[in-house]
Amino acid sequence: MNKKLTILYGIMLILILSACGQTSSNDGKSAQKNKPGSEEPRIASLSIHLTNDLLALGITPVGSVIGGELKDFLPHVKDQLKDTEKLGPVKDPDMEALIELSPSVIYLDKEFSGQDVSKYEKIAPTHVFNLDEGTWRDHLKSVGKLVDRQRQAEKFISDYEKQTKEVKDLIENKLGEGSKVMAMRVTAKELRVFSTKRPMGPILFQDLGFKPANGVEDIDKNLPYEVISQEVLPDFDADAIFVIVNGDDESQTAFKQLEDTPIWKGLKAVKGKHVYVVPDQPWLDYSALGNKMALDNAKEIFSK
Amino acid sequence: MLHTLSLKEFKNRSNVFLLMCLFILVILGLVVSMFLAVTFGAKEVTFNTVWSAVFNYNPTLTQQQIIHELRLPRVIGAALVGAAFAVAGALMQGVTHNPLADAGILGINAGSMFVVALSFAFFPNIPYSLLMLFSFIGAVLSTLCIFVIGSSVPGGLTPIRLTISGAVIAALLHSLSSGVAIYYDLSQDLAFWYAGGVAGIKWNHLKVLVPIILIAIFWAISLGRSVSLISMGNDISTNLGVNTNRIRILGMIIAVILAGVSVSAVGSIGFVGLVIPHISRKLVGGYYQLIIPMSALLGSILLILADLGARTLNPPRELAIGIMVALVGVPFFLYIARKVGRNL
Amino acid sequence: MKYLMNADNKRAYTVTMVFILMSIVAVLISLNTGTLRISPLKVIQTLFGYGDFKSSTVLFDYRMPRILITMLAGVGLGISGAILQGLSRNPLADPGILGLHAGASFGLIIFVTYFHSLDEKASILIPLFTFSGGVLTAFLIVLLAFDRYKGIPPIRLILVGIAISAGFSAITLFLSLRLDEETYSFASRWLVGNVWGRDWIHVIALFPWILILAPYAWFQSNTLNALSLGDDVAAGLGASVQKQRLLMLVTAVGLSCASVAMAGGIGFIGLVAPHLARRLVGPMYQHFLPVAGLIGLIILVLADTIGRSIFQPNAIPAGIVVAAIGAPYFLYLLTKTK
Repeated sequence: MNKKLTILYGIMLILILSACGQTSSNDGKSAQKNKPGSEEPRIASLSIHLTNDLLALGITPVGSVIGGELKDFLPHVKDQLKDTEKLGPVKDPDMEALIELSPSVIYLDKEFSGQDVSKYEKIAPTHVFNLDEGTWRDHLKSVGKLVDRQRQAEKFISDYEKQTKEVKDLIENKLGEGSKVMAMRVTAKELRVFSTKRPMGPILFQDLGFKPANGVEDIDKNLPYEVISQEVLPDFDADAIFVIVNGDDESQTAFKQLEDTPIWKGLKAVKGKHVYVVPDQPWLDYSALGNKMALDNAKEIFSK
Repeated sequence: MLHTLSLKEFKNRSNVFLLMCLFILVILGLVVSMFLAVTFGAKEVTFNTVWSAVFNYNPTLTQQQIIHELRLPRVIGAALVGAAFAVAGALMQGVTHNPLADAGILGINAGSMFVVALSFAFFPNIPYSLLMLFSFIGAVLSTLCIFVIGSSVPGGLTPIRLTISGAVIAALLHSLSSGVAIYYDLSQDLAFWYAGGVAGIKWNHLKVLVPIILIAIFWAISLGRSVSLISMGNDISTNLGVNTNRIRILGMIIAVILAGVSVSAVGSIGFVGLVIPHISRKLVGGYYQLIIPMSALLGSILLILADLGARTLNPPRELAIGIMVALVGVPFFLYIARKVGRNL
Repeated sequence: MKYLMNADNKRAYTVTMVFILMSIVAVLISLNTGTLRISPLKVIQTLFGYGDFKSSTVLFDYRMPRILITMLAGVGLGISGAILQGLSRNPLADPGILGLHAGASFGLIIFVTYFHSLDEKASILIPLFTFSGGVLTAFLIVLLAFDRYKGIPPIRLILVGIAISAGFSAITLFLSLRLDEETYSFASRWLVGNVWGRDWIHVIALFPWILILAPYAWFQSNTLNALSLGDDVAAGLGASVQKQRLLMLVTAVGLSCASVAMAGGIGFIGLVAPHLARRLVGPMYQHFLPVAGLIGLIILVLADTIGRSIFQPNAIPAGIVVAAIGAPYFLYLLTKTK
């Protein structure tokens, strides 16, 4: 019995000793970081899309989640987020980093972290956005309302509409009116054709006024894309093809191989030299800023 | 020479006619399934187009291009890889006395996978031939591991131990591959790769695959007689002057070459090497000189049909071929496992 | 004989004590690790209720539940592995090899593929689906391995497990290819053992399983000893072999499925922990079962701590850390023991 007690005391002693031993080394660091917020709201965004909506309004969030696969901010906005704290991947945000940041307000995407808002509300007032409802314009307006920059939001949207008209003209010069397009993505093992849903659908088929190529509208409207077999590529009979090639080398090689096949060479769009390889970001980023940058990209492509 | 076998061989000869018929039938089956696989697909093509695409190729017609550039290499690839996996399985079953041996179950495919994951991460742009070499090295390493572990447990290398140590190694390598994939952003690419598919096979792959696999299969057939002796037990074969260990090692090397090369081309497709040799054994008896070619033919047929199923069940989408094979393979494994278990 | 038993007892006692100590240290290290730096003194202050808002939220809401989950799951997996190795009389058996993990993964994939709309209740539904997946697999394995005359022969148990595992993995792989990238990266992390449960509700859900089943297994040590020696010995010692085996199997399945449902598909702990424990205190279940549980706890707590601290910002799932450290050591062990 005595032995047990000795061990117990021993454990406690070690606990206390280890605790005291480390105290001095760590204290300095924890004190530094808690600066009080300035007059600007310290926004922590837990959605990469909301982050980019904020950037479109000229607000840099103090913290933002990162793209899970990328392990970083999206490449097209990375340099605007130099001072922004990384809050982990969107599906598994780093709560400790969030609390350390002491944001004054938190923006959530309902799809990813909307289920336990109380966790966030404990840290700061929280706004939940349902990005599945409405377009990026609606999202931008509601963000604008919250940060009191409605005018900037309106201006951003009207600038965007103005620019779409420009780009539309450029496209008509190049491709003629009412041309049918498809957007596809080449991954290492698959060919995916985008549906008329976001991310690719709205900008191509609504903003830029393209007609969907044969069969694009048949793709399940609830899915962003469908995987197809190379064999049916000619059936789409598209006048122009937007191709997104994944950044990894496997996909690049896969696309090169695809380009070498006679089937590809025989496509109408390929023969007419209307294949446009576009980067995955910003084209797949369905946010205000992402769409704007995609539009810039389209302008560049078609003004050549 | 080979007195013990002469009686059986005599019996065998009386069945030569039947066997001939059987082989001709299976070859016919192979031709028919290849034909079906070339004809049916996501896009409908007429018989005439197929015929002229194969025998009178006109590269300017889209329809013929589809046949020639997409379906033909794919079907030939499926046939080759099916044969390779099946022969590898037959060899492994023969030289290890293990009715449960199969490149997928034994964890050899997992070894290839791991090395491929590493090369995806560190040398993303390596040419196909080098990837194949890496894949082979991975297969060899995991095979070595499995055998060392299987025989280190007291009692030596029994079929069951081999299977279990294979499963352990496979689990280990699989989680390491996932780790590499997660850290280097390859997750889903690697999963696609792993799920296996013959869709990606092009003529330039076939240029490498055809000679290696064919040579390895013929080599395996030439080893057939010695393998049958080994499979009857160590005593018989040593009495007959067969160098057991040499044949064992050779057999495993061929099996690993076949499995490694195939994995590098189409990913991991399990169960072919398990199911096919068993069926072949039922058909032609315990003679590996017959089992091996029969396995090659049946393996080709299985994979061609599985791929055809994968393409046509839900067009224009494609299912993963590995799943199709597993659907057949798992019940079969359970059946054999029950039989093996009963004898223990 | 009696003296020997005593010596064994003593050794087991000391080893257990040492491991309890190590567990406490591991837990303390883990409590001190995270993005937000909190000094050990402050940790202790906070634990006794004198912390500020930040440190108490971080400790009580984020770190504590996660650590408790890893502790409980580690114990569950370690003990479950120890039971399964005895039942199958095979040193290489563990819940992962037997296909229970594959079943749980299958459950997860079914959830994220077909019940995506129920995401709001994910924190309750995911454990439910994965647990049912694991139990379903166990049920299938027993059903297929069952023989009218022999009951469940140990070897067949493993072989059937491997086949079922391969089959479920194939389906899981197939379905996971259809997921979008974010969901896939979540699922793939889960599959390789990312400690998933982080909330108190998960701790509360897991706690009773471990609290009831782990001691129950320990009280049944003699049965386990007998079963691991072989059916004849077990029958000779008066244990109703088939019934006992089934009962212990259910215990092991309950422990591992509950743990996996909360912590993700973590392999190798069930393999390594009992091995190490047996080497340290011998093959008697009353001695090595608690040690196996403690080793499982230490491994998992440390693996999770390493995974979420060293590899920031993209934490590496604990399961991979366990595999990367535990598996090579295990291979070394195997080649050593003749």
